[in-house]
Order: sequence, then structure tokens, then C-alpha cells
Amino acid sequence: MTMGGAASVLLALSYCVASGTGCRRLQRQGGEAKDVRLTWSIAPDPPATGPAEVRLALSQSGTEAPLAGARLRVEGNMSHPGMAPIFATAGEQAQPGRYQASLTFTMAGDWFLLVTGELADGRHLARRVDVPAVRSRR
Amino acid sequence: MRADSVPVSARVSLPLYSPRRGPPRARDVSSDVLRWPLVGRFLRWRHARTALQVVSLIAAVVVVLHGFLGPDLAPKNLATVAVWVHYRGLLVVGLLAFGNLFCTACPFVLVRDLARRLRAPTRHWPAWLRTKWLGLALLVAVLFAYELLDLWAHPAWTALLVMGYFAVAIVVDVPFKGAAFCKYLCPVGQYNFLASTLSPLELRVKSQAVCEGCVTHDCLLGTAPRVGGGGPPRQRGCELGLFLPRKVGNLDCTLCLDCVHACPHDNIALAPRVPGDELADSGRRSGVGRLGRRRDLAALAVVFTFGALLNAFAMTGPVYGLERWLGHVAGTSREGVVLALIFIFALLIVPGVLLGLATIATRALAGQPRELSDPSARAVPAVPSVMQFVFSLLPLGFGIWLGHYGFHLLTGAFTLLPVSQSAALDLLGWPVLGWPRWGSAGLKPGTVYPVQIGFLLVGLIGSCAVAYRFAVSAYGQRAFRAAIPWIVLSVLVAVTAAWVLSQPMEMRAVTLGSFR
Repeated sequence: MTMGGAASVLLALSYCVASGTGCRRLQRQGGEAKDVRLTWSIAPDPPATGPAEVRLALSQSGTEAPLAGARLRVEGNMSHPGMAPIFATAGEQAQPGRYQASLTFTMAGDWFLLVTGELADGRHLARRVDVPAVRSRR
Repeated sequence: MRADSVPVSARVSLPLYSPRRGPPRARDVSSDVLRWPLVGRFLRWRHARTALQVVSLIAAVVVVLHGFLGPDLAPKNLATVAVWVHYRGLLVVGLLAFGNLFCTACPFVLVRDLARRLRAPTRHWPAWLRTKWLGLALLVAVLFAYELLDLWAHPAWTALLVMGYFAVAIVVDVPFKGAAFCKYLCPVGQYNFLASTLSPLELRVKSQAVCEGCVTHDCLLGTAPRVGGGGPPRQRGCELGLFLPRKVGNLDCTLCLDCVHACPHDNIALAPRVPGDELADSGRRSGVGRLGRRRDLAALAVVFTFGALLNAFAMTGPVYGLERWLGHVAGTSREGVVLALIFIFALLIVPGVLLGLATIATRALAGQPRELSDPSARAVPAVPSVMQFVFSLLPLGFGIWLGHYGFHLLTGAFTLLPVSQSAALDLLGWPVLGWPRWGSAGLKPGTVYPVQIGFLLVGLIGSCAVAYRFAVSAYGQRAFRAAIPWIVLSVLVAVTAAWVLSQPMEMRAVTLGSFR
């Protein structure tokens, strides 16, 4: 097969893959507990580079009943590619349904947090929290 | 009979040089990369370029697929990571260390060549469009879209941009002969042509005497078709219209190596040279003409240099305050309007004022350039243009691009592996490259700053050297007085760039609605 022929096959293959998947976006994370409400706050506020405390509160939508016993992980990413993510485990606080994670923002700019984990009843949770405009401390 | 694969005017027997123009300036070929053991052998292989293009095409296909199908998270998608971090960084490093490697391996041209097998081009690119103005407009459009749409944060839009390049290359180059897309339109190409004026290697003839004896001019026209057959040449010549005996420098050279494969005398070398040397040459050069008479190229050089400043500034903290203030003054919350104002200011008003002042100062201090009477300068008689000083900014502009793109590459180099692993998992459904493991992304930002300043300093020195070198050839004993305004301008731009690079980076989008 000539180089040109190989390239032709490759193009055709790519088209088939793209068409076959229907251009849908693949979801790597499992099903989400959609009836769970996540609220959050961050300190310092407004957020700045360096250490930060992220406070999360899980409750049942509708009843507002707190959801205790969840195991949560927080992954922080910048909106710009090329930066390593930051990871933290959110520890449960004394108050039911309250969790706290310690992160260190390494650079100023727009960040987003991916909060993932498992609830006490086994359901999976995956949420995105935008933390825009993290400022530089200096 | 030679096939009609090039413009009719080029098929007329071309004089190598005329008594009026004088002979081309002789330059020794001290070394030839094409004769190196491994690299040279590979590059002399007829299918070397195709091999590189296939690799690029595979990468482009994977990038597009992951851009559309992968996670809509810029740091985790190959489209955004590979394009805005690694491709941009490796592009400028490749230009600095070798030459216009991306154009050598251009996947757009490969696809265009495949499309031409289905439908051969029949028309010539219109004469009135044979300038860089369209390419300049597209380059500015890409820079503007990058800022307005935050392309760096959107994998799908990045993938769309890549597909757009393919589409334009096919739409333009299938109907039109030659490489009109490359020479007149491709924004990446125009950027690469300018940056490659600072590259250490150049394709040029080994011996002018050999070219003087050549009557077929295969380097430009391609080799003759087989005996008894018709149709296109067996090996095409330079599609960008560069006639090797009169070629000077790397402008408009895509390093496609067609001339190398076409030359029946093996008289073309990939030779080392002084980077930036060509910027001070005011003689006529094949495919370009006189540098100092090309307003479109000068405008490109301005956008290249001041665009480097603007692109870096747009990722720092102060730009957000500037955008809010401008929005308030202009009475608008539309980011597009505010960005347009910044672009007009940074790419038109500021350069216009600065270059105008430098030109006035040169004329006041040194008068007009002298008429060149040195035959070795290949311009008898000719008067260099003050406008050629503009090209002395290119080394500094390239230094700023190196500082900026180098930052992203050095601080994010290692992210390519886990993102590629994620892409394989996303696209194939199993970890063929292993499970993604996130560790350090690259160097710490603070450690990269000295490298950035180093690029800036070298660029500044290069700009001063080019300005002075041109001044010597154009002004003789008035050289220092002629060059000093441009040296001062370069220092001013360099100081501004150092300030920009010292600002804490704040990579974020801006929404202006909140200020009212």
C-alpha cells in the first residue's frame, strides 16, 4: 500500500469512528445521584493562590436532609490546559452532611473542582464546581 | 514537452541573472544536513515528507476525535493539551533549532494532495491576491478568536479549528495550482515563514556555476514527465515559486524538499547560516522581491512582533482590569467589542505611532538610504527602503513567542502522557497506554522565568544586530545614526515584554456583564 493509500484508509477509518459513535461525548464517570444537592464555599473568599479550604454540604433535594457518611474526593483543575491537577480528600465534619477539603491553588486564573465520590447508600456522585478568578496573592 | 503544471510565465526560459541585476551573492555551503548519516539520508528519501505528514495526520485525527468525543475539560482533553501546550511549544522550539519543520510535516497539504488525485487543479491563483494581506487578516482572526472564544478552554472548538484548516486547504488548493493556501493564506504558514527567518538552516544551492549551466530549472518547474507520456511532472518543483539560484533565506519556504528531489544535479543543500542574516538583505529575492518594498510582509512582521506581546499580555492579571475599564469607557459589556479595541490599539495604533516615530527619527538623523552600487548586493542600482527596518523587530518578536510558548511547554510538558492515556481510554475503551497517572506537570513557573528572559535578551540582541547590519548596507557611515531609533524601539518593546512576562499569569475568561 502506498503512503497516499494508507492516509486515505486512515481518513476513512476516522470518519467511520466519528460517525459510528454518533459524535456523542463519552462519559467516563458512572451514574450520578441526581437528586443530591451540593452547596459549597471556599476560604479565603475571594479565592487566591496558596492554601484554601473548600467546604461542601450534601443534602437531599426537596427534603434538605443532610447526607452523612459520603466519601468524597476533590480534584482541582485550571481551565487552561497544561497544569497538573491538585487532589484532596474531603473529610466529614462534626455536623452531618458537612465535608471539608484542603487544597493549594498553584496558579492564578480560572479553576474548576471535580467533586466525586460515593454516598453512604452506594450511589455515585460527580459534580463540577467552577472557581473562577483565583487571584494571585502577591 | 514540459507539462503545464506551473504558470505559463514560469515556463519561459529564465535567465539566471541579468547584467542589470548582477550575479547572485556567493555564499559558501560549509556543511549540508542532507549529507548527515541518518537525518540526511532520511530527508533525501523521496517519501520523507509524506512519512512525516502521515504521522502529523494521525496526530491531527486523534486530536479532532478526542476534541469532539473526549471530556469537555481542557486540561484532560488531547485537543486542548496537545494543540495549545505541546504543538505551539514544539513549533517554536523546532523553528529555533532546525527550521520550518511543521510545514515540512503539514497534514493539511497531505490531505490536499489526496484531494488533488480526485480533481486536478486547473486555475491560477488571481494575481491581485498574490500578497500576504489575506494571510495577515487570517492570522489576526485566529489570534482574535483565540482570545474571544477562549479556544484554549474548549476542546470541541479547538477540534473545529483544526478541521477548518483542513477544509480551507482543500477548498483553496484543489481548484488552484501551486501552493496558494501555503503562500498566501495559511495563518500558521505566515507565522512560520517569519519565524523561520531566525532558523539556523536554509535550503540553498551549493554551486552557482552548476545552476548557470542548468537549462531545465527543475527546482522550480519540476522534472519532465516520462518519455511518451503527458501529464504532470514526475517530481514537482517548488510550488511556492522559489527559484533556488535566486532564493535568499527562508521566507515562503515550507521546507517541502521538492527542490532537492527535483534537482538533477544534486546541487541543493540544507545548509547552516547565521539566523536573521536574510533580514538585512535588501536585494531582490526569488518569490518575494525586495523585502523593503513589501508592505504586506512588513505588516505581517508588525503583527508577529506586537501580536506576541498582546498574546502574552492577555494571560496576565492587568488585562482583566484593562478590559473592565475599557468596557466602562466604551459603555459596553460585550467582550468582542472590548477585545477589538485592544487589538486595534495593540496591533495598529501603537505600532503605527512607534514605527512612524522611528522612521521620522531615522530620516532626521541619517537622511535617505544611499543608492547601492555594490554588484555583490544584487541590486544595481537600487535604493533600500527605510521600511526594511521593520523586519529588524522579528528576532525580538520571536524571542517573546519563545518566552510565552516555552513557558507553557516547560510547565506542562509532562501532561501529554496522562492525557494521552485518558484519550486512549476514552476512544478505545481500554487503557492501551496504561492508566492515567498524574504527577508533576513540568517545571515550576518560577524556574522558567530566567529562561524566558534569556530568550528575550537573545531576541533583543538579534534585533539590534539586524537593524545595525541593514543600516550599514543602506547608510554606510551614517549607519549608527540610522539604526539608533530602531534599536531604541527594540529596547522599549523588550522592556515591555519583560514586564509582561514577570506578571503573575492569570489564565481566565472574562465576563464583563458584572461591571454595570
